[in-house]
Amino acid sequence: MENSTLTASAIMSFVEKLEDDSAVFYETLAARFDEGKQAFLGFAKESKKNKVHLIRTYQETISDALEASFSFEGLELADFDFEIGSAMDLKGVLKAALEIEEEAVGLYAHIADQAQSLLATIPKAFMRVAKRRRARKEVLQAMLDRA
Amino acid sequence: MAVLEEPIKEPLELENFIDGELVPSEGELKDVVNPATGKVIATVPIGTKEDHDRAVEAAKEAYPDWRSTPPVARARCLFRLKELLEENFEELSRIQTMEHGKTIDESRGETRRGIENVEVATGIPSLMMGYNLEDIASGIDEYLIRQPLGVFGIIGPFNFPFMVPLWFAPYAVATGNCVVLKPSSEDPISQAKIVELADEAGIPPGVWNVVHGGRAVVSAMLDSPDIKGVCFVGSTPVGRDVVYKRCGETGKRVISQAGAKNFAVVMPDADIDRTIASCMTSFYGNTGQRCLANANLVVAGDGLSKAEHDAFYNEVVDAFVAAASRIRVGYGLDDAIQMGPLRDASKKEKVLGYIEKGIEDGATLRLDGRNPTIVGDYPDTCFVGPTVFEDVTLDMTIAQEEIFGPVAMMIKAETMDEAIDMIHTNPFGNAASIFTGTGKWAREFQYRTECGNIGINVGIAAPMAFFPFSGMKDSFFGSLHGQGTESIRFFTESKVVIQRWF
Repeated sequence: MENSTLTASAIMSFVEKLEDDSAVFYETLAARFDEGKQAFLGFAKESKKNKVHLIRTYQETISDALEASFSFEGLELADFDFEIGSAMDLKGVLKAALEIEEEAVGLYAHIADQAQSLLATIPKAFMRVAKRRRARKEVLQAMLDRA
Repeated sequence: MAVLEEPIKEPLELENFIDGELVPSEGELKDVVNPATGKVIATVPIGTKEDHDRAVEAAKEAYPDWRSTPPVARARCLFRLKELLEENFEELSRIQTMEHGKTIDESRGETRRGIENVEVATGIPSLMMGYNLEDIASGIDEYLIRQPLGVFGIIGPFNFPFMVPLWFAPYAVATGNCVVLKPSSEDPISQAKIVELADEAGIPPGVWNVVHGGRAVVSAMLDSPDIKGVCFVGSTPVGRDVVYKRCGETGKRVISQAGAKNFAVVMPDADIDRTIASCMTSFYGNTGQRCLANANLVVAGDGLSKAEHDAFYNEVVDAFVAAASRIRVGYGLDDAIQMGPLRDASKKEKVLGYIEKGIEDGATLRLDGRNPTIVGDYPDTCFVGPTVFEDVTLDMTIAQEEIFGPVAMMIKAETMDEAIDMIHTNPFGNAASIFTGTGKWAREFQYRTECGNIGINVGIAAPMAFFPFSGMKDSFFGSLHGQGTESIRFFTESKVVIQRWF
């Protein structure tokens, strides 16, 4: 997506897909690797929860009177790469997951910052998801260190 | 970005909803057209007086039972309605975009605003309470109770097809009244959906009726001796000369919310970036078809020399034009889009006429929206892009009349006093905004400006559901406003009881 003014709806469509893709990604990892299975399933479940939380917050906050259509400047919604080769080992997969989480944390923090002009609930919701994603990074890094 | 899936796949055949049932009308059928795609998405009957009278009879029939239903039970029906509206939030929002043309963000915002009114109305057991005083004289107590009146009429506008009828209907029903609601025949689908959800929520047959149509239904409503009050949102000529006048003649209560020409005043210490961001939504949100939209932007020069004021004016206008020129125009279900079409071709013609008039009167057309770039392959039938006039003076038609489209007028005022005088020379008094970092200016503006809704660093001064939606001068006719506690007073009669026991 080009770097320009984004609507709140465009942001929501993107993060909805991001959390859906993340859930599928971790479910796939859980099916392939016994080691870390519980953590991967936990991440998948959390992504589903993130999606519901973000949609609910957006729908409960958006109002025709707020500057919803013109709120997000200078954001780039680059596609996330969830592809993992069938030959990729656990180490490779964990590195890929760490990259995704790193990008996701940055994206959510950026959206939260841009959403400051909206009611407080919206930046808070994005910060909460960024925090959860940051915590994931720590778990993934520990798994990588052990692998 | 992709275009979101349309919830309406085949044209709907709308019918009146009377006494808990879909009822065909004898009236002619009219097409409801998606203004972005030009496709017919529904047919709606243009109801007759007989349709209206049938709905009123059903409402009268339902009234005694409903008014004696305990408020807490009525509230529970509204809680269920709120739940159903939440469950259908996305579908209802997309329908608004299809029937009206607004962007999906705007539609979702409208859905939320509508639901908020249902939420407030669920508080009816508290909101409807009266008050009392013991011993007004020796051994005598006095108390006030609020009672419903019977049947109310609601006439909805085209610009907010979902939300505006909900400024009234939930409060009317919560207080124990019954309603006959006529949505705009241009975009009637939202109300057709809501009334079915109200039925599903357990609101009894006859309490919440929808009769589609136009003048015949409105006339019948205004003339009916069985209608105790009418709520109307629309143009000033109709609101003042038809609705308000005839309600007076027939002894009805009335809330008549009408037209507007709103001013935004930018003071020299305003945060320009945030002011412009706010103005984009205010001037161009809902494609300018909003009674709270600002239309005239006045750049004040308090404390500035003439040269400084000129420079400040140019800075504001340049920033405004730059931001407006970046607005993406197209089909509102494409979530990259920031502004949709006007509701129909006749409204586009009217807006184009005003643009021509502005040029004729000598204003400078800084941004011309007459041939906008439309994102996607859609007919240009109803689209007008963001338009900006500068060097506008107050005597010009474009500065005086309500255009109801995406056209902004840039005006210069030497001081805030002059800006307020400009606002006061205009017959409307719906809303006004000031952008400033100085509390003294903001307070002065709030204190003196004769408008019902004031925004301080807020471009759209839209009251939340628990506040009345105000309005003054030619923007409002009536005494009590819609929404919140004023609404409760509008829909109830105050009865005073003075009691003594021997």
